[in-house]
Amino acid sequence: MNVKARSRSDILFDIFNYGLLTIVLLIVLYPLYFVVIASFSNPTLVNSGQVTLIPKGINFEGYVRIFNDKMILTGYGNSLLYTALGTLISVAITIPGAYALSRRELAGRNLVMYMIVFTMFFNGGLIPTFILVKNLGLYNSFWSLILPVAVIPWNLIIARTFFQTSIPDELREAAQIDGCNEFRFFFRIALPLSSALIAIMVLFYAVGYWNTYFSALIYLKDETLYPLQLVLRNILIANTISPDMMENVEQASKQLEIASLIQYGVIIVAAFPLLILYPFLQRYFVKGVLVGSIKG
Amino acid sequence: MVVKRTMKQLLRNYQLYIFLFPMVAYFVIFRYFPMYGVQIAFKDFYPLKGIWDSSWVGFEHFQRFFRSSEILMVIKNTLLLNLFSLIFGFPVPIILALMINQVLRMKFKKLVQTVIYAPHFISTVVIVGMVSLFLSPRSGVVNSIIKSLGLDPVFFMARPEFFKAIYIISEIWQHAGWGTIIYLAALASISPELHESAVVDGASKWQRVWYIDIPGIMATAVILLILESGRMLSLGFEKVYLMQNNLNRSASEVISTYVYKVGIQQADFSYATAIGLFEAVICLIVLMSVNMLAKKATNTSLW
Amino acid sequence: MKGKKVFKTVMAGVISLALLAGCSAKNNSVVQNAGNTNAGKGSDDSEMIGNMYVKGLPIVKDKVTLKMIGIQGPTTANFADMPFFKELEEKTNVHIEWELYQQSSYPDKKNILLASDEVPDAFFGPEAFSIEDANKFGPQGTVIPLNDLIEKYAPNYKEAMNKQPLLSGMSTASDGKKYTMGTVIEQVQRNYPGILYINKQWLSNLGLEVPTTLDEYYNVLKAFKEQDPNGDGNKNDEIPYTFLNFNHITGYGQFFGAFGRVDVHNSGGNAVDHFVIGDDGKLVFTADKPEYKEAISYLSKFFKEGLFDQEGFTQDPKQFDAKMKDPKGIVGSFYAWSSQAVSPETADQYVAINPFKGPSGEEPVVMKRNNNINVRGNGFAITHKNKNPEITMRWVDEFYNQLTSIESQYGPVGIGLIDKGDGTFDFNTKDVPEGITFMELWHQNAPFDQSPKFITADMLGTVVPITAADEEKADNINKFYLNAKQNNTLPVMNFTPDEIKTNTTEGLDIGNYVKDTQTKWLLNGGIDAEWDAYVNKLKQLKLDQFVASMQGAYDRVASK
Repeated sequence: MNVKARSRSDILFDIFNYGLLTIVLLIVLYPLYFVVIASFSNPTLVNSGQVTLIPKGINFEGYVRIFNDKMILTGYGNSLLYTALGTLISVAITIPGAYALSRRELAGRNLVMYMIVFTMFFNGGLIPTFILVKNLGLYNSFWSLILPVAVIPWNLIIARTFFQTSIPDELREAAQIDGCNEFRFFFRIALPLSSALIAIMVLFYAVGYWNTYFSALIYLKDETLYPLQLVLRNILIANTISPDMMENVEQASKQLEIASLIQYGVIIVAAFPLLILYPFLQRYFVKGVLVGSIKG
Repeated sequence: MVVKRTMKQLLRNYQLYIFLFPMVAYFVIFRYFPMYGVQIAFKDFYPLKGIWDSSWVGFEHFQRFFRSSEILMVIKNTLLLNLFSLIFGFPVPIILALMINQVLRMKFKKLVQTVIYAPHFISTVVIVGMVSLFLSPRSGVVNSIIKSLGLDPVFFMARPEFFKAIYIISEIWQHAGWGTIIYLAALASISPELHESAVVDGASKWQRVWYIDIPGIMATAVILLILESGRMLSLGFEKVYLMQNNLNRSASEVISTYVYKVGIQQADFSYATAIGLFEAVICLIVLMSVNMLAKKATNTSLW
Repeated sequence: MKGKKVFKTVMAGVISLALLAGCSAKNNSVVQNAGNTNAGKGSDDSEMIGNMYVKGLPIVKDKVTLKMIGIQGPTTANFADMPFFKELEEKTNVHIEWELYQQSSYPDKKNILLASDEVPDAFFGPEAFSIEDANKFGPQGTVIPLNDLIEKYAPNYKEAMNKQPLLSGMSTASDGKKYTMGTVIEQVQRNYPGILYINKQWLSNLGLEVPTTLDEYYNVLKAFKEQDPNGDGNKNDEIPYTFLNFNHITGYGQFFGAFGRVDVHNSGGNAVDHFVIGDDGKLVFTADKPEYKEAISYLSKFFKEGLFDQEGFTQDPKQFDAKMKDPKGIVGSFYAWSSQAVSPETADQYVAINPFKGPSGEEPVVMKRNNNINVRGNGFAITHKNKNPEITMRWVDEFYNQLTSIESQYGPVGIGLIDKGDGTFDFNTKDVPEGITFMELWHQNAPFDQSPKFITADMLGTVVPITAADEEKADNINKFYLNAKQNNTLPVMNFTPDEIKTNTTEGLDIGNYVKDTQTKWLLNGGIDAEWDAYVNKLKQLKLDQFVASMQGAYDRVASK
């Protein structure tokens, strides 16, 4: 009797739970799916609401125009370069720093920690930072997108906590007795044990650099240096599509249609590198790298 | 004595300091050095004289801000936007994590996780672009539906009354899934024995969620709540700025966008810095008081 | 305890670093005086100061490079590639390194550069450096006073100031010095900003009369909306009336004239919105008057029923243009400078019509811009970073001679202009490449309205022809606007630092509040219920103080 009642309530719970999660799944997926199909459907049908589940009037005009656009291609190349270089620098600074901060015998580590956390809530503001960037000779150079944000405090805290919880003191003590110095221990033992952390750091920093637009708006003047997101901002938000992309499109109403085709298309194109990176790194998410991260 | 010991320790760990050095250098140069510029909040900043040599004016810029009528609107928008984000946005990842944790079919669980993490990686520019595409009065999906119901299209992005809802819903859509990660990890660390003995005692799934899972992630939730409320005033500049237009300004002007407008668009640099400083101070006060409250109520705190 | 000590030490380090930077930033270059360089004779016997010839062209013996910031309009080419600037470089031997920005991103960029003192040698063009900028950054020293340089090296500009007496006063900052050189682009009938057009084909397709009152106009727009006047079988692609938000030329503020007073939006760079000049010379703030209320509560239904294009509030000029240029014809009515200027391709579909009488038959009032809108006190400024201010002055003075002035507007002779040999010129309409109009050709070959210049009304129709757009404009003004009752808008004014502060606090608050409520009431209604609270709120925002400050600034201009 008792057992039956329990399982009935559990069954109800499961039905409810699975059902609701399926709905959540659809809510998250549908807008993404819609952008995909809208990017190669007939824009007239899309705009009049006739494309909902399956693409209609398939054409790739939007993509053809996107891939023939110089601004987008340069932006793409720039973003790839900035992301690769920036991620490399950031990870190379963050991980050793976090490791050092995780070590109890490091004098003054709490002070350093406080100073780092303080910067999460307080900063010097736009103009002084701009003056600094200018005086360092970084203005209008891609270093201005990388160096001022080279270390993100939040990522540093995650990394430090990882080292605190997953590299046991005993391991290091044993190594020390074997005559292993700090450098050796870090590169030979700690790093190889931290592949999950490195993967997460690469992902976080890469996403940050790939998505940056505001500092580019402030620090860059040459259009040839613009990262992709700044180009996207003009297309998606300011609604300014370069006349080159509108070549041979006469009618205004037709222009508006092509414009929306291009807008859907660039969303897909911009997400492409992350779509590739994502499955490789995704398995690390569940591994609990972030577990204790907030008990810093 | 103490000094000597510290010196010895420093020497012994010099390799660790080499690890630390680039990072500390970064924070000193790029984070702390620009802070000297905050003084222009109390000065009449003449670019030619530089930050250091401009003349002091005391609290004049602050008084100007408090005299301005925009202050009320801007502060109200900032607080409401963040409060609503917190009220509606904070519980969603917790609920989602509790639900996902109850899924026993590994394939489905993985699918859900993979999908709901994904939007987190889309850039702000693209998210705002998607929102305005979907809500466009001429061609957006949402208005297509409204039109097919025989109603007049609504220009959502131009209506102040919709701004906060659009902002928060898109924010939840994008980040709630990713937010589950920490809670899922916390749930995974709850001892399985607790659940096993509860099953033996005849507890239903619902009861186990209520009496084991929720208390199990309480500490995590409180810490996150403190951090969120401390950062909240300064969050979201890029997104709000991108979503803002002349028409929804009365609902979308927040402190950070106002600072940008005053400082950069009107070249009133000192005034903007003063408003920014005001924001930072409020931020610290909020952080500290939430932290204190949490300490009293749940015995969990940041420090 | 120990922690605190270390913290102090670190902070001390940070502060001393900051001190060092403060010192090193002080080595501002001092403006060189022309007198202290060697005077002598060049190889060709003309008088020289250093590398510079005192008179004539070229300006320098060895090529000199100057860095300048300017604006690249949406349809204009890069200055560096423009035939106009290439020819100018050949003539003067001065090379310009351009740093150009789009109009939309320029103001932010300019202010960041000013704040960090990362300025070029000169600001080029009337929108690159405003009178407000001059009043603010002139006394601070970012840009240098030009009085002496003009006296010594700018014969053309001096002549221009004699010919157009307004120019000197308008380019004088509130401290009495000239930090900018002005721009004069007179046009035939530049004083009346907008002309109301209606689609005559649509009218005849639907068998409707030209409306003469706002009530009739409402019915016509309603018919445009509900029927299919362009006859393509689609009833939903017509836009009865469209506009640009907060724009005094295309904006709906001119309809307010049917109720006795127009609403001025954004006319010419100054914070002069919602002001007109009363008959007694006193300024009238229009947005708390009964006429304003009446106009909004009447026009609100135009928005609610979709007769006025809601996208007007957010669209940019490009989108506006695209709607106008659609060959199918999708716009029923609009205000514009002239239909020719907006869209020569579709201009023949539209006719200009009388401004409307009010619902109860009141005579319409039209907007008239103050005379000196043709004359701007700004157009060029030299910064303290410039090591060659004399050369720069001689270079920019070229823009004020007649030939260079018109070439900077219409393109060089041989490309945009044809030299008739008697000192007069014709537009080159023959060699226009396919796919563009001859007006678009100007934008690709010359800086057009983004450069300083001196084109006066007496040159139009004599030295250069009058454009079709100008001619049409003049015709329509004479027919419909010249004899109507008029509201004068404020002139461009020079504000003192105190007035600037009032403008950016009280003025800004009031402006934003009026703007927000106006849009809200037009879109959603509700003005009747909220009017009293609104008027009170304006008082709280210190409207009186703001109006008094504006009046003071105006009195200074008016007394000159």
